[in-house]
Amino acid sequence: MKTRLLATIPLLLVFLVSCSDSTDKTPTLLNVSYDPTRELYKEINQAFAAQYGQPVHLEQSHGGSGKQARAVIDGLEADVVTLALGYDIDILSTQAKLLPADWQERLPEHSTPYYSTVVFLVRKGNPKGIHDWGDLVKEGVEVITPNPKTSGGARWNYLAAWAWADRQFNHDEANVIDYMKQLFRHVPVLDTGARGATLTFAQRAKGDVLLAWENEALLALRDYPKEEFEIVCPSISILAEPSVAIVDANVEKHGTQQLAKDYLDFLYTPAAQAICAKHFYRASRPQTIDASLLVPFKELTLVNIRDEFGGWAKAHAKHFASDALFDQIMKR
Amino acid sequence: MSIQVKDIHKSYAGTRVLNGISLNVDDGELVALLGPSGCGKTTLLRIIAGLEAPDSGDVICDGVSTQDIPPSARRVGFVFQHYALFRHLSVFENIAFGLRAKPRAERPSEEQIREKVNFLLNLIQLDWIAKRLPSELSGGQRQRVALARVLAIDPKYLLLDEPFGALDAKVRLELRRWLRDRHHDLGVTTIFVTHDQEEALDVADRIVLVNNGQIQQAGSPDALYNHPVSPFVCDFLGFVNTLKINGKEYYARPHEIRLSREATEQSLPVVVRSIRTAGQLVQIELDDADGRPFTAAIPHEQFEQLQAVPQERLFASPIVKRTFN
Amino acid sequence: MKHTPTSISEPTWARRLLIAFAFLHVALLIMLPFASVIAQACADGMSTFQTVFRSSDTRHAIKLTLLIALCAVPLNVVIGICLAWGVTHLKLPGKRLIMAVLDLPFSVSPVVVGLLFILLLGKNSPCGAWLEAHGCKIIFAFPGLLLATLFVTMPFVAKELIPLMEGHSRDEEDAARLLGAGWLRIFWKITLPEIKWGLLYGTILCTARAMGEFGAVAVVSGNIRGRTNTLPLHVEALFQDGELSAASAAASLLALLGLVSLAARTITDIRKRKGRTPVLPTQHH
Repeated sequence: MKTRLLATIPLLLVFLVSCSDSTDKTPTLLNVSYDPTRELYKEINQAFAAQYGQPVHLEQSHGGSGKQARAVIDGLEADVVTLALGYDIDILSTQAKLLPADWQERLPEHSTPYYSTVVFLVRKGNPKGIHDWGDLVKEGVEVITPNPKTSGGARWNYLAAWAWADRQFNHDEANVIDYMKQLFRHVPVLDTGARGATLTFAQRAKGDVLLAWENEALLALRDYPKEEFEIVCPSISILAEPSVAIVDANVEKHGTQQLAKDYLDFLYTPAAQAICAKHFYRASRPQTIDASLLVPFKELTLVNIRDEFGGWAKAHAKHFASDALFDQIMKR
Repeated sequence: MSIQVKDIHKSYAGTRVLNGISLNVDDGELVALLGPSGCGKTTLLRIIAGLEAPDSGDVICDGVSTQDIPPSARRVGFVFQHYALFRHLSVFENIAFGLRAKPRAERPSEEQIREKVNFLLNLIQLDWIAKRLPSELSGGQRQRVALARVLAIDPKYLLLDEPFGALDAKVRLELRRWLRDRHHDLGVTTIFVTHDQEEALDVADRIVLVNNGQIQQAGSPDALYNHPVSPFVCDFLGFVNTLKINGKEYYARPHEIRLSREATEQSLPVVVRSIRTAGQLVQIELDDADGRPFTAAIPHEQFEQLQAVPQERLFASPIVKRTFN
Repeated sequence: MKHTPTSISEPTWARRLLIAFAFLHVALLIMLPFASVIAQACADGMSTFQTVFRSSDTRHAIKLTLLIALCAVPLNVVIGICLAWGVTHLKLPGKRLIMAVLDLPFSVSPVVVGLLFILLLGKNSPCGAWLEAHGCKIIFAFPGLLLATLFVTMPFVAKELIPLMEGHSRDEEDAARLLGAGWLRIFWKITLPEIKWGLLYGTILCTARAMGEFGAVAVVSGNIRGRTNTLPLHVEALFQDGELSAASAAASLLALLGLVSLAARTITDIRKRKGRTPVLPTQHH
């Protein structure tokens, strides 16, 4: 007993020493991103490292978009953030002054190198005849979408539905809210994240229609061929813009300004744009890549958050803050 | 080694346990701390050992205050009520413990340790079970091992807490005699705690009777038994009757009562309830006029002469006129 | 009809039913998920295991988990022994408070523990800001993971030892002291042999929890793959990526660790109880 306990002490010291000597001089870049982009960035990182001329160490962190933003505020030292919503990057500026408020204008295409939209994933043959947002509230239709309170993706779903209803009911907000209430009455479970909702729909075979990011829907088509899904594009949907930004405070601390800038600039190069398309994100510069990569993406009318909702700050305050519209809609 | 206990006070959570105890134990004396359970005698023993600190007062050994001496440096031989043998160590190692624990400079060699332990094993007549674990010993054997363990460090004095309390009657009697003999051989100043007056009377040179945290009486067994200073002492050291004669209360032990058919000036009319003739003395259960029961014990020859039968009226008088007031 | 004498136990059929129910319960709640994890992991053949355990992220996660356990467990053993000794041997005024604090990691959700550390040591706290200014990174780095694990696993050893130390050995310790032994000798020779099986049991519990901890660690990890992802976090990450069989393969390693510790626990528990049979009940003064 005695010797065994005593033996652990030098062992412990050895390990403590070995773990503290990470005096690796290779420049390191931490990209804090959201859940479904792991495979995308894995490939982008490989491509970036291959062409970068000097050795770099690229690290990835993934989690719920809002949670990741919170972690960066609390000290997760991201050099760049690539999050699901601009709003999550806005709070890095407003709450922690980690980057300037005009971050979105520092990179091309509103700092959105790739984007996506919300589509419907239905079971093969579309047995419930779902073609547009109005069909979601038909008798007997079960809609799967995650909870907008916890999931960035679900907020896009919510806003897309709102945008359609707003046009449908000629901006009569009472009618729009009524439609939204009906819509959420057709949701049997609110998963906390987009991946959970996809699993609910695809693996557990629950629901008739999944409101999903287009890239997730296309992935599901690829990953579950046996299940046989098909994608339905609604008449109108939202331009879902995941945004990217350099976290100024952290790159200054790490001395990685140039590396971070090169990394984000790389996202707009034809090589990275092609990778985005391969992972079913819509490239923001589609003209630079091979047309065959664009085949899966259908033409559809997209509204954007700035013009339709006055930007994320306003949309958040109106819809997703405590006791705002979403909370009221969920009240019976 | 003499021990002087000076005006010890001790309370636990507001309850007075010891209330001004002073006591002198001479070199080589064998003293019994006697008292009912919960009277504070064990606490006093632990204070003398240094296991507890008194609230006030001091323990002086050979003229030196022990206040600042830690228990490990006092060289006290303390035998616990349940022996507190080290259960994972053999009998041999239990006895050797105190020798191995000595500071390096004083520590005897392995050979000296073996010699000493074997000597002690012989002393307690248990050399044949040196390799056993305490759990494999009988109660009496454990008691003797516990004693040998403390003798190994050549203690300045021995403190024994209820040394025979956990043993059955026959072993107890045997061990009592053994202990008295060992004390005689070794001459170590010894204090032992007991609640059994017979044990105290049998073994001790001197008895200290404690109750409610105070010494009731201290003295030789004879002094306490025959000349108690209070009803409590009288009652605690053996069965005693209270006889009310002419408004005075006499304390008489059963064998200190005379029975006769004639009334005298200092006698009490009584009725015989029952008679038991089996035993060294004849036990006679009596009731006085108020119906209070008491017991007399008279030699068989006297009983032959008296020829009493149940329901008979007799007169009882105390041989020793013992009163307290 | 034959009349059986009044029996103290239930009729045979009721007993059998209860036993069957217990087995069914265990099978459904424990064996089934366990088996399904293994089955899922093996669904695509053993190659899944190879790919998963060859990936540098998984290897790092395993290393990190072991490293955390290796640091947290000895520390907690020492802290646990000290706490248990203090609580049982000293007349501390705050004894009840210490006992309550020992219950805290059990009663508070681990996620809250994680958040607590962020509030306490995060960049936006005065303490965290000071540490960061001095180049010391706690949260979202190894020290934070260690701290969270330490906190969550703190009570196991102490909780196991307190009743053991309270139970007996006080007289033996006093006896040893009066025989001239110093505290270190008393601890090694008297106290430790008394509590060794309990200590081992507590250590195993502590190790199992340290390696399996998810909630608290998830909050302070920052989920940087290949840097701050522990094995349980890595399982979750793989699951989130939709790599079910890879997640299951990694999870089955965790499950295996769980099984090993379960076996070790059972053995020590038996030994512990054996070691507990007292020579004689000890009376307290």
